Amino acid sequence: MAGATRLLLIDDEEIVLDSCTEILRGEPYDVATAGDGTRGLERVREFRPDLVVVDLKMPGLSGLDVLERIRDADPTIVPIVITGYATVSSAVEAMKRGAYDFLPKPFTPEEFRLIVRRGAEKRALVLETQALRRERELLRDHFAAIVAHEFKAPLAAIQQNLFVLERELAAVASEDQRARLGRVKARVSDLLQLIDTWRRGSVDLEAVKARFAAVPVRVPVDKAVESLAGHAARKSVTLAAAVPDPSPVVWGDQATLTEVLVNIVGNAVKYSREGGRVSVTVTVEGDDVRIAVADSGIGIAPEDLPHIFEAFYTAQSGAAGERGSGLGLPVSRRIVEAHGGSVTVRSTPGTGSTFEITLPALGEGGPGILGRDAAPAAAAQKEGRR
Amino acid sequence: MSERKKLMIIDDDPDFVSGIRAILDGAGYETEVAHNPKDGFAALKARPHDLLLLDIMMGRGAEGVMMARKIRKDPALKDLPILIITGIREQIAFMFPGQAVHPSFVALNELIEKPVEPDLLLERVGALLKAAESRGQPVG
Repeated sequence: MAGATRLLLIDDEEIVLDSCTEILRGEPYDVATAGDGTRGLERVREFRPDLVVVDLKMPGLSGLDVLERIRDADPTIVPIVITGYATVSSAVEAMKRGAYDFLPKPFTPEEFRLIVRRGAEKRALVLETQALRRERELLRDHFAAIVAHEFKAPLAAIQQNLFVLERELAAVASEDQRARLGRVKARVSDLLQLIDTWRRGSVDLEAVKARFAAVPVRVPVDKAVESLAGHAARKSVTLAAAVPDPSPVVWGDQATLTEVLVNIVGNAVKYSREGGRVSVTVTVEGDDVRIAVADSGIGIAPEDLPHIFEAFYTAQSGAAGERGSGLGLPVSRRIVEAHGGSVTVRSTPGTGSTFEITLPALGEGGPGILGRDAAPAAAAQKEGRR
Repeated sequence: MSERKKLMIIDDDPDFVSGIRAILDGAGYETEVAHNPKDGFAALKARPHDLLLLDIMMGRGAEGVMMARKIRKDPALKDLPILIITGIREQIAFMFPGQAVHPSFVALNELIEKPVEPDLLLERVGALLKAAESRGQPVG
């Protein structure tokens, strides 16, 4: 506890208030007093005590009522009762209602000091327990993010050094060695992506729903295309997006929608042949916004098609031996469904696949349309809700 | 380059640092490294630098963000170009991929994700240095 322990005394007898204050003089307590229950509860709010010592027998609001209301206001405050006449029953009743301890009148200064000291220790333990519980909850809430970071950090260091080695050895390594290095890099890259996907899969969608806002579809589409441009370029895959101007708007979460598009467009690039083409086309049909992701890749076998949205299902190897984690599509479908939408797929083996994401358009009696400059989220929200 | 540009790297992972340092040294930059924000800030105050490469997740949390905020408030350092290199794509990079990071978050110049391809790293570093030069201010 930072600083002195704050103690509030509630008693209708001024002599008790004065003498108790006097007993604690010179000790590490900050003492406040109140002459009745109502005043006492006010002081609880203003003074924010660690300990409350309350007389059970008072005119007006009784000590037991005060106890109960203190517990409602802040259950971490440690209450101690003073029982006017030392009957066991009143003490038991007070303990039942949440009193930590009781002090029968008359009491000696030493008895009072002792019980207050014990109460202060109890309060310190209560606060410590609360802090630990909060830390545990924080850890639980951010567990996936923490684990993902711990896994990714060493892999990023490995990959960064592989990049350097590849550069430094370019002139001296044999073709075989360069190919081997390339495979090592590819496997590390797959693992980094798998961790990202796992992290996304552990997203609490209820928490995501709570921060839904108007999102111009152009924003996640552009972000996904930008983040995959490097992968596409390395495979000589043309990656193009067509979004109506102004962009249709949906009610949702920009970050998770971007993740969905990174997954689906990323798959399209992954399963494309060298020199292939991936197109992302956004259209408005009635009350729906459709995002079609089409590739001219290897396609999906009819027997795999019903299972590709199941967790950990991986179809046959893609072009250049690429494999998925089996998590990207199930995670994407969960996210899209949380947005009130759906994902479907059509595919012809050898010709290519088209994934179609359908999301409800935002706006009254028709698609929500946003102005040209779609970037600022605040503006989007204002426009979309109009 | 009339004289070698001085880059400061603040990142708590020595192996990752050695990976980017080799690329930057190879390209003719002068690099200095600190493995925690405290030492890094002291080094920035002690000597002029042309650019800072900054990690986000250091110590018990996003100490890189705190560090960037502190630099932006420091009269001598506020114009120092900052390139964030981070592994926490889902929290930050997804919001601002390859674009100037949102001013309400912290005024950073650029953000890239770990691990970073050598060509991309050199391109972003070069562009930030050029932009700072064309602003014509004495940095660091």
